[in-house]
Amino acid sequence: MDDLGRQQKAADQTLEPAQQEHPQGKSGWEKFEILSKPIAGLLTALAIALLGYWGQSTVTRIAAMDQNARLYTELLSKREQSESMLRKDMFTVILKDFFKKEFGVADNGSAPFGSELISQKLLKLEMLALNFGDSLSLGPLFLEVSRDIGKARPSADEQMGWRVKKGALIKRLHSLSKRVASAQLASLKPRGKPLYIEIPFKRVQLSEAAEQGFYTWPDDEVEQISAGDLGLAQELRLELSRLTQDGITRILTFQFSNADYRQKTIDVALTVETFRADGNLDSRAAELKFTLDYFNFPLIDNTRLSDNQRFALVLAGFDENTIKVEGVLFPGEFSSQRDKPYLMDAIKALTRGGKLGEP
Amino acid sequence: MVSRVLLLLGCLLLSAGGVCAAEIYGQLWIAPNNNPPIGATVSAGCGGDAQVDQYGRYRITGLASRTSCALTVNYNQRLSNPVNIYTADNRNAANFMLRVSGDRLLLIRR
Repeated sequence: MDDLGRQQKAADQTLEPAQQEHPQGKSGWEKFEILSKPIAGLLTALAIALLGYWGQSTVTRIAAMDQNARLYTELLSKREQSESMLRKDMFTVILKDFFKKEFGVADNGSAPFGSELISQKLLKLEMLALNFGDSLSLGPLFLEVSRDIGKARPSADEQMGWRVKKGALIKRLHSLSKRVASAQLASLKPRGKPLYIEIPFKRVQLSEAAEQGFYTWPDDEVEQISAGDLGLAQELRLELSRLTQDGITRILTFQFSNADYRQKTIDVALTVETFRADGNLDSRAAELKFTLDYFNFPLIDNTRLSDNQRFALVLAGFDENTIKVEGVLFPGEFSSQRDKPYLMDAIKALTRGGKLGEP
Repeated sequence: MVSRVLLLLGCLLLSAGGVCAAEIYGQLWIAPNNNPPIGATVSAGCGGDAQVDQYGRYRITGLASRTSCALTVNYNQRLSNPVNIYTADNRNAANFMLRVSGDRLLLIRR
């Protein structure tokens, strides 16, 4: 009996530590395992639900954005279309009116225009210039109206103050052309490199004399400033005439002559030299000769240079003392819509990996 | 007859008023940094002068119309070369670049 009691006691002593370790029969890890299974399931379900919700809302948002963009594009294209139609109709009507045989003009066209007719023509030209001046070459129409004003004769009731009326018509024509040209120039100047030249009228005045005067820029301006300092003159000459656009440097020199005060025209001989990549001047300089008047519009009447660049010259002012000329060197993509780059220039721009006109 | 004389007198008075209605305005920069030459004074030979503002702008008013005015600039105790500006309109713009060359101040039309 004592042996049995001792064995029982020994067995109880061996069981005690195990009973102390698992008082309720399950360990913490087991409990965690039991609890974590439903929680994990719940979290997974929640994550899937959230992901689904987020995905759905993103898809809805993108679809809404797409729809808005489509609607906006549609509205824009419709507006553009209706505006184009309106412009087309307007253009057709005005142009048809412009070339219509004028009322009061004889069949041979020799009868003079009265100021009323010229005024009507001017109004049509104003409509054309202000609406289509950026995309059409309207210089010939301006010249035609200018010639018509020159040929105009007063009707019986217009005899008094005819010169004043004629002067007012010329002023109106010039102010319209200056308005169009200056608006175009203002849009080009921030995108290009501007140039400003003042020519003393007396130096270049058109005269009957055999020896015609001319003004060379920048040489004549530099001569006046440098006052005989040859080193300074050389430095200034380069500084004034050098224009750099998109990494391409050009030297522009001008010779002005035959300034006609009555017609407000001046003859220009322009030379454009370009620096090559190695820093030397290209031997093939561009040389041009043209007559500059108020009817030269920079977006249309410009000189095409290499690397899809353009140079435009505008007559900014013409009085009995000074002729003001403004120029701008600008990238070709800002030229009028009808102006397209040469294929080689386009390919060159594409192979450079950038947009057109980029260095 | 009286009305005609009055009209003529009126026209004369109006044109006399117009004689002194011109102004020259513009902006000045100093090379090579194109900063405004603060403290510079622009003087017109035909009368009047103006100090440039913090942006390099100036305006000289009350000048005679249709007159050639020699503009000079005084900057840092240097006097520039004169540049002739003809007051053809009521408002005449003239922008300049200033450049210091040795002890000379050059006034270049831009």
